[in-house]
Amino acid sequence: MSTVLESTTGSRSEQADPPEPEPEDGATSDAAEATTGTGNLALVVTPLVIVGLSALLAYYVSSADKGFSERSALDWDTKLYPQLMQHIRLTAVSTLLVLLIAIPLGILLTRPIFRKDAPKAGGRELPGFLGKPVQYLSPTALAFASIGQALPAYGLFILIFGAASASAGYIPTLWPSFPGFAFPDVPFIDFPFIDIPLVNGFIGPGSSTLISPSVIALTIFALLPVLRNTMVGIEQVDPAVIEAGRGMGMSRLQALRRIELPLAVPVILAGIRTALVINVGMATLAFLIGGGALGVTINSGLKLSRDLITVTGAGMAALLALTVDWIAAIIERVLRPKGL
Amino acid sequence: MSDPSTAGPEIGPDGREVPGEGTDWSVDEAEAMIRLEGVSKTYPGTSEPAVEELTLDVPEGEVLVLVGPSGCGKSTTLRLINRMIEPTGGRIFFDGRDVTKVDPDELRRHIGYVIQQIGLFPHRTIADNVAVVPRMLGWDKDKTKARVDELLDMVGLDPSVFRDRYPKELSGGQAQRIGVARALGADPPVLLMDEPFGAIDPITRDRLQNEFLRVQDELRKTIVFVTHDIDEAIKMGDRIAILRQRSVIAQYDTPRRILALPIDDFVQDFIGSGAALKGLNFERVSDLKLSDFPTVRYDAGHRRSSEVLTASGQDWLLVLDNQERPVRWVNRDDMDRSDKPLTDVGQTVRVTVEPNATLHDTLEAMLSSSTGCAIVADDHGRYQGVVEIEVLTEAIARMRAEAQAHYEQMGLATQQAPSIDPDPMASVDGAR
Repeated sequence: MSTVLESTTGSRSEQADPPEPEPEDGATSDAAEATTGTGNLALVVTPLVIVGLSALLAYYVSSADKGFSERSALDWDTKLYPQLMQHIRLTAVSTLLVLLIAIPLGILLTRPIFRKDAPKAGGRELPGFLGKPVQYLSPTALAFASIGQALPAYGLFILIFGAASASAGYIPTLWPSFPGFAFPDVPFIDFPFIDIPLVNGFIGPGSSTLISPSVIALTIFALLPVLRNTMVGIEQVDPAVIEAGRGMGMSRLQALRRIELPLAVPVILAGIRTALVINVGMATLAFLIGGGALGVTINSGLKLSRDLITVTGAGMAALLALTVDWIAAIIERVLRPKGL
Repeated sequence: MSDPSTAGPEIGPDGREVPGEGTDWSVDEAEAMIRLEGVSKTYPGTSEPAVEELTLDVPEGEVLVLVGPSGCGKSTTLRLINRMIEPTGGRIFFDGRDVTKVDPDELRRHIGYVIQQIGLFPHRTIADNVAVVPRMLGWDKDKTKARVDELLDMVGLDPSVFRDRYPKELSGGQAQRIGVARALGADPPVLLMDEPFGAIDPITRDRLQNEFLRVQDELRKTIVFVTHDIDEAIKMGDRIAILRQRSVIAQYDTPRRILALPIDDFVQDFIGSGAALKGLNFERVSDLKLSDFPTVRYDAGHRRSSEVLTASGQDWLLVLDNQERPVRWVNRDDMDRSDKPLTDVGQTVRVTVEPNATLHDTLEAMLSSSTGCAIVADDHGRYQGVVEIEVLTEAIARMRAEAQAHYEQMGLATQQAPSIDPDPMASVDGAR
């Protein structure tokens, strides 16, 4: 009897020996499951909503009473489709530029020599008299990047266009037009304050070049949230994790590649997603400076007081924003490191 | 000490001699695995060095604990060893090789590093975490995998369960086990541990400490261990270096000797009260001379027992059973009051200590016994003798005398009877 008792208690204590009980593990993984569960649901439902709304919009447009101006403004082959493509192109090119500029810049600005806590973070101070001032670069850049969303969109577009016009003819065109991407130019725009014909910008002519003034304006817009999130994403990485990595013999570059960047990915991706959606919205203003896109249709509708035209343009822009956000969510999901 | 001006006792700011400061605490050079020679660190923009001219040896296969109050520079010292912080002066040797100027990343791949915050990579599985250094060193897949499983086993976590988990699924204790396993990844000869168990609850900490000591018993790594907890230092250290400000060594010795003879007031204060009590952990019953005590067999009868008690002059009698195991304490009153057999009167013997028990356990047994002495029984439970309080006091005095003799041989001035100082202010006044 006693031996039986002993053996059972013995085995029980052995089982209990990995001392920390499991239930909390189960709980956390359940919780994680639950959140990813709702995430999955959103990823599935969103495209259904987009398709449904598109169908609704198409039905509304096709069944509505259309006069001459409606038929002309809502012609798919000559107006809506080219504008939609132009809209996508503006967004895609500006976002690509943003990634190429903001992410490397963000990484650079979070290196220890640009940070005030450099010596404590185990980094070296830049030697020479620049060492101290350079350490203020990172916080300053972060503060500047944080005011990004407060930039007045309308004003920025006009400033960029002004700069483009003023520089026309002085700065050589860097990018040739892409014949495949040539869209019917908006020949003359009704500029609110100054009446300027569409001219070559400082990088290329209006709507048919890859990097147009509109793309530059959109890039400046979306740059700041991505820069900010890249910096915040890298700075929020637990210093202990980096210290552990460096302490095991990882070089600075290895620590950046294997620890800092993967752990910053969710935050950086969130910034890019924000930037994409901002850009889809902002691209509706590109028509102001001859950038075309869906803003043209919206503007026509407003000018002509035809609600059908306005709603169609705005609806398409909104559906595009939803689609882009959905695609970004999928990318975020795929690239997000496991275990976080 | 290469610089003669720093050798010998220094004069403190108040003009008094500061014992311990500037003392050459280095061990025999041949057995030092890690050797710091006059290592200093002064942060840019500060005039006061964080670590000043530290010379320190870590003997091979031993655990050296750096312990001291907050801000004494012990963590900085640890990080100077693997050059997470670059020293501004002095030299560092590993196994006789000067590593002060070698590539620090390469150096660190051969030094295990464990920190209080653990710092597991949250985006990598447990197996990937443990395999970090082996992979950097270019081990092949099979060898790495086998090593990971071996290490998980060693720290008491089932590889088949934990291999593919992520760090967020671990409790604090489990995470620090993985932290230790990861540091041992490529089997480095040296391990640096910065308060590894500092953020873990006391019960789990105690278990981790014991497991770690068991693992270290097998592995015999050279370990530098930083803590601010003197009890942890006493438990974990083969040697302890007690540091004062700027990482100046106040005392460097075995825990036993430090507890027996704290070298100055600073060490005395740092260890706090109960140094002698803690020191009892380092002496065993088998080192003592046991006292005899009057005993009778359980069937001796009352009259015979009374005679023995009278002859011995003691107040108590110990009753043994037929296998010579102590069973009861009996005094004269117990025998006078009742005619019951000896096994039914008096008080049951609850606690005995074995010869390999520490004096600390013995004292515990002594305090819980009604007669004020601890019964020693061998591993079959047979009576061997008793330990009385006087014997313990003698043992403490002997340990102190040994330490004193040791320090006198080193040429160090020590305090006289440091722990018995009823009025510290009086001695200060006397010195003036």
